[in-house]
Amino acid sequence: MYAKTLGLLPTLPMRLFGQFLDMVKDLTSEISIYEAIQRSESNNLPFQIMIVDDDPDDQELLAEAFSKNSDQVEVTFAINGKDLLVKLEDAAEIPDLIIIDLNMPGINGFECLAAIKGNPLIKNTPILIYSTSANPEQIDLTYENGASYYIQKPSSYMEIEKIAAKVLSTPIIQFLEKRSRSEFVLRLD
Amino acid sequence: MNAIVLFLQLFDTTGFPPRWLCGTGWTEFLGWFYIGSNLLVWSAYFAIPLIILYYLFKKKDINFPTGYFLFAAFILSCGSTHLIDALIFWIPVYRFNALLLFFTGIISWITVVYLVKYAPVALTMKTASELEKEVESRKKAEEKLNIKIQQMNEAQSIAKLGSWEWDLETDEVHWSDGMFHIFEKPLQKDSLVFNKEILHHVPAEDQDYLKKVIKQAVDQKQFSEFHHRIITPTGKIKIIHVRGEVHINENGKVTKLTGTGQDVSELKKNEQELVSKTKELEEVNRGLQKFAYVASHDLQEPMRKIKTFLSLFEQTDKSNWNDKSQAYLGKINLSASRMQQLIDDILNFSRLASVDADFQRISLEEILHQVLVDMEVTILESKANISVGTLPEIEGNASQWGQLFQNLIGNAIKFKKPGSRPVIEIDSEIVLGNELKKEDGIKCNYAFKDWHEDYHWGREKFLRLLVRDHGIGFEEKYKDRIFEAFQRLHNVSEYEGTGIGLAICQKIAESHNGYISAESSENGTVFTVVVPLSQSYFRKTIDS
Repeated sequence: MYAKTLGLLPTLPMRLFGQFLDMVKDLTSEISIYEAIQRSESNNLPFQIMIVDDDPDDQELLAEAFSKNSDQVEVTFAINGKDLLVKLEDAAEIPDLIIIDLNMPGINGFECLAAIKGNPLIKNTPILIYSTSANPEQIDLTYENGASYYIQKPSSYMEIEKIAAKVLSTPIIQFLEKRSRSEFVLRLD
Repeated sequence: MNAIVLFLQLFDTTGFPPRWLCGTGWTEFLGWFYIGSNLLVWSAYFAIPLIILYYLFKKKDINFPTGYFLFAAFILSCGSTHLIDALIFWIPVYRFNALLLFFTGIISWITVVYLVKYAPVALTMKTASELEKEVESRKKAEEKLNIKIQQMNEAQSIAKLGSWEWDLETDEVHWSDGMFHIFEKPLQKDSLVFNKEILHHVPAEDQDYLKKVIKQAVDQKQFSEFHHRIITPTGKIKIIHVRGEVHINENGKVTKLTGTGQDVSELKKNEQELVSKTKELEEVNRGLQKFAYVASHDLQEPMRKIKTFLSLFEQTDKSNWNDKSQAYLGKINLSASRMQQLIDDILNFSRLASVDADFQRISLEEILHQVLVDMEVTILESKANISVGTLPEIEGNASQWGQLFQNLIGNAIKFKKPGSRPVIEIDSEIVLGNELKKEDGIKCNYAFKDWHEDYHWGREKFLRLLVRDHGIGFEEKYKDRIFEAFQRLHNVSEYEGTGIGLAICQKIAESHNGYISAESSENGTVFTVVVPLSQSYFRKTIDS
């Protein structure tokens, strides 16, 4: 027992460090999220996406589109800004990606974005804006406040699926890179 | 010596016999005839000066009184010599007579000198008839003047205007009737004293201001027009517009102020009403645009949902659907798409009106280039041939210009001649304001904003952007209608679209203080956009 414990003790930090190195490799590599989660399937760490939208239909449709692409994606929801901020505080793990609607009652998408980017603990979490509006001023504002991409809500389910696929096929590192304003609005090819 | 002897023996008759005894020729008749005639002359010559003196006494205001006195003295002394001449028949005072003759001579010559001196002046004097004529013409002139004054008073009363004159040296103010009417004061002919009779009509809080501007006019020797209020005896408040000028004497001192006062209460009231009504209208307009924006924004959501679930619906198993259901679903889908497009367009259109555009120095060439990149798919699909000339940098809003280019190019591609490739030529030139056609809307645009007051817009540089297509064109009578929102010249089945594209272009041109127009022929359509290169002057005008 003692030996067993002794034997385990040095290996646990080593294993954790190894996992950490894997994560760093994943984070810095050019492989897509999809590939990354495929590879890490063995250690059973899902890719967490938090969807913040006051519209349950939109939540459902987007979640369905993501789940369809991979079962390793875990989608959680917040129904408005306040809910999001509470959930982020309580969460054991910070989501890997947050998708925020702009037009929400109470704390709206802009305020969520500002709150996340103003918090040093979570400011590196990539944020996608998911809004009905194509108002250039709103796009400018979210661009300046550090969102990764701006996605206009499409009006067909096929396009929602395409968006999910596109997001998952993007390397996580790319969300954290600064891009030009013209590349900020996510385009479906 | 002889003169002294003459004076000492003035009345001494020694050595002279009386005239009766002189010589032998005096008959009784001749003597008395001589004496009588002399007395006749003397009595007349004595009466004449009396009458002259009486005349002088009665008519105090007379020209040349010295002349009359001289003439009276001359006649009187002449008469005296005739009296002595008669007396000498008995008392031969020849010495005295000589002296008297001497004085008469002196007075006569003084009179002569006087006459020579004043005859020319006397000649210029008007005769009675001449005077009468003059009086007549003066009367006529006066009548005319009275008519004119009456007309002026009428004009002043119609214009609610009065004129005033303020003599600073005597501190007297003279008013025309109009001023009394404005102040609702009884007419008075006498002059007024500003501090006592005028100032108290001005509300206490305006008095210092009024005194200040008047002092300023005197100090600066320049009268700037101003407004002040008055309270009439009936308690009515009026607004007076005062204009005037200063009068300066040869020493450079301001001696007099003259000018007019006009009751502009009505005008000011209307002006005020106009301003508040305009503000109200702007408010309502903004509200409406905001409403359109919010409404269309909120309509977007459910519309998108309908479309999304329709798309899911279409993916479901269709095996047990009949053809009709399929067709209905297709129609629902089409209508939903169209509805969505309309909502998007209203949103875009109302956003242009509800958001104040941010103006910056922008390169139209870069913007157009970006638009062509964005539209690549459409352009490639339509095989459009687009040629671009040089475009300048202007002061404007980049996203609005992007939209304008996109709409015009999209329009040109859409309305190509059937069976041929769209050919689009985009070019520009710089023109001066005065080179623009008179009927061009741009002038009204500026005039409306009071540019003409202090700015020669003719010197301003403008961009004239020409977008020419070789498409189907439109009928001349529709040249204005095509810019109206949701106005379409074709059926949806022929050409898709909601008819907002050109309305947006017009709004963009107008928000840049310019205009857009279109000319069409069988060779296609030319859209002309004219905007000033710089917005700076315009904005300055608005701010002030």
